[in-house]
Amino acid sequence: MWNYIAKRLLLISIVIFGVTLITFSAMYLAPGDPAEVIAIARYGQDLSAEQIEAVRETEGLNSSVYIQYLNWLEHVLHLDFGRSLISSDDILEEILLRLPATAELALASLFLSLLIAIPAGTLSSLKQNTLLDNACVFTSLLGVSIPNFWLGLLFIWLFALILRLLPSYGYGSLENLVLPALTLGTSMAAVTTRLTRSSMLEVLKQEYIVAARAKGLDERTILIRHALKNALLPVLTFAGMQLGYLLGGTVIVETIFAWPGLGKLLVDSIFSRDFAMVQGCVLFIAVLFSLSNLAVDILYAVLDPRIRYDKHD
Amino acid sequence: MSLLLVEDLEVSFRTTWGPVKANEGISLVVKEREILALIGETGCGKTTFGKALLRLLSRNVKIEGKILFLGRDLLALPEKEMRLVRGKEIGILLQNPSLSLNPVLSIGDQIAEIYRCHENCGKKEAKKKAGEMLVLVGIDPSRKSEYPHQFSGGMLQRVMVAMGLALRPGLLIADEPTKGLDPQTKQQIADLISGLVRQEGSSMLLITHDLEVAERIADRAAVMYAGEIVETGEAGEIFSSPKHPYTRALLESLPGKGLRSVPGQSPSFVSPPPGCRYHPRCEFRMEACPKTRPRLLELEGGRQVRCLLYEKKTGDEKGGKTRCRS
Repeated sequence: MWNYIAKRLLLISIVIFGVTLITFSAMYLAPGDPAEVIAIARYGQDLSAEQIEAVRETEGLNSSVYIQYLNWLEHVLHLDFGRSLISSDDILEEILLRLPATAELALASLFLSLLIAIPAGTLSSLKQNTLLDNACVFTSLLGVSIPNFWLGLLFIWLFALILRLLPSYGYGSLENLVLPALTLGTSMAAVTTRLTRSSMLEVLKQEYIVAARAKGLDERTILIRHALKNALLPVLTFAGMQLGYLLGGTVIVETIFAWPGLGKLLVDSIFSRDFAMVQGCVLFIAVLFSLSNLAVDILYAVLDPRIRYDKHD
Repeated sequence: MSLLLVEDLEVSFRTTWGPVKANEGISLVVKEREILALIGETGCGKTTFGKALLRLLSRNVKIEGKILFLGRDLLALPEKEMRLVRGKEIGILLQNPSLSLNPVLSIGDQIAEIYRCHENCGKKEAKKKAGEMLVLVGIDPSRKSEYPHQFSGGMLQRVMVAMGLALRPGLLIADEPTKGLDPQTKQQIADLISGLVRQEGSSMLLITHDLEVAERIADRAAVMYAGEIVETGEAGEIFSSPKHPYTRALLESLPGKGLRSVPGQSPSFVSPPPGCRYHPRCEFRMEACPKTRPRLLELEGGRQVRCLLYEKKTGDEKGGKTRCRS
């Protein structure tokens, strides 16, 4: 297992290296002059060409691209992501400041989605082809088809404007968490419900379910111990991948609800052409995503005894 | 005394082509302390019969007739009571152990849960009993925390035996327990199962297409063809002097007895041949065979045979033999 983890970490570092290359060149190729952005932040809109040149000189922006890249990479390796071009805040500090909000939303919506999806998918599979099952399948199809930005607005309209139950934006209290978590949670639950249902249908056909029944076990034991334990393996993988995606910040939902997470930070930095901040965010998100995927694979091996990475790896 | 008495059992699957009868008019008796072999080629309805006895078939299956176990009709029992019969009074070894064991549970847990469910044992006691069961079937009890994929086919079958006999049921249904095993392991498993069944004073319904195993351990045998019983009798007599042409052909297919395959293919259940179901493949076919459904005739010594050859000369031992190839 340790061998496997070491191997995966090596692979992840190669991926991350690729990510640094791509983000750096994308930022370089993007329209806009970083020197100008910095100069505006420092001296306001009224700028002379000399001021911009001076910034270019002091910030090392006139050296060649790969020198700039290597400089940046060297700092990143020492966990120094640099400073924001706009606010001059330390980028890593800013990211870590935003992480709790994103993590809170990510975990809440993932929890909510599983809370809906696992019982709904299971029930649907047990009552296959009944009215209940069809209703479940239809609702989840609806959920998959509705885009997040629209669902979010719909919830704001219903719960904040009409019913006046919940705040439409903001961060800090549990009330603030409800709507964004509901938006993300229900739309993820739609996919997870379908996955749980099809996975359960597959497992219920297996001979070991008949064997469990033949042993005279009660239906509850058969369902939970024999069927769900197997059927939830793919669901778990999927949930883990979703968590990785959520931890990267959900750009749209965080923006709609003015949720001060990573996704909001990323979008704001893009709009204000804060190149350094965008690079830092993307890199951080890539690392987080890779590590959470690794965590899922490890968890998978713990839950499924057939998977032992070292034996065949 | 009869432990299991099956009367006129009919099992039909509802399909898009209409009901398909996988078992038709099956009457069988398993006596106490007896091993009855149910033999026949693959696809003849043996497994369906075994599963029907414990009502383990899917919901689209209709079972009619009577299954009397110690006088109780299992088909009339509510599902709740039926659950208590399964495992406790009738154990079953399903075909294909590698598919019948749950891949994510250790084999020890899979045996122990039987005790936890039926005897309300604590975790510790159930585990201890599971360990004892493993010893009984010849598996090192220290392997109880291992998972099915870590065992060989023969070992998995031993685990199945441990599960099937965990509660010392009066009847064990063993569905192809020696399928897919090498000849040596096959004998070991057959001897293990029959030894334990006899030791416990239980009975067994051995469902198999392996005639050598049936001959080795069975007291009586019943031959099934296309969902019907075509011949029953003492195992020794069936194997030494088969009466039904199908049984005869089946025995001639054995390596030691000519290795001749039964001509033709097993019939379809959707549209079975009219008259005697075996007539298209039969060497002794007569004019009446495609037209008349033969009854199960009672011969001497508790022998039963479903063949028109014996219709007129019931009890005449030579009736079939004069036509037999030498």
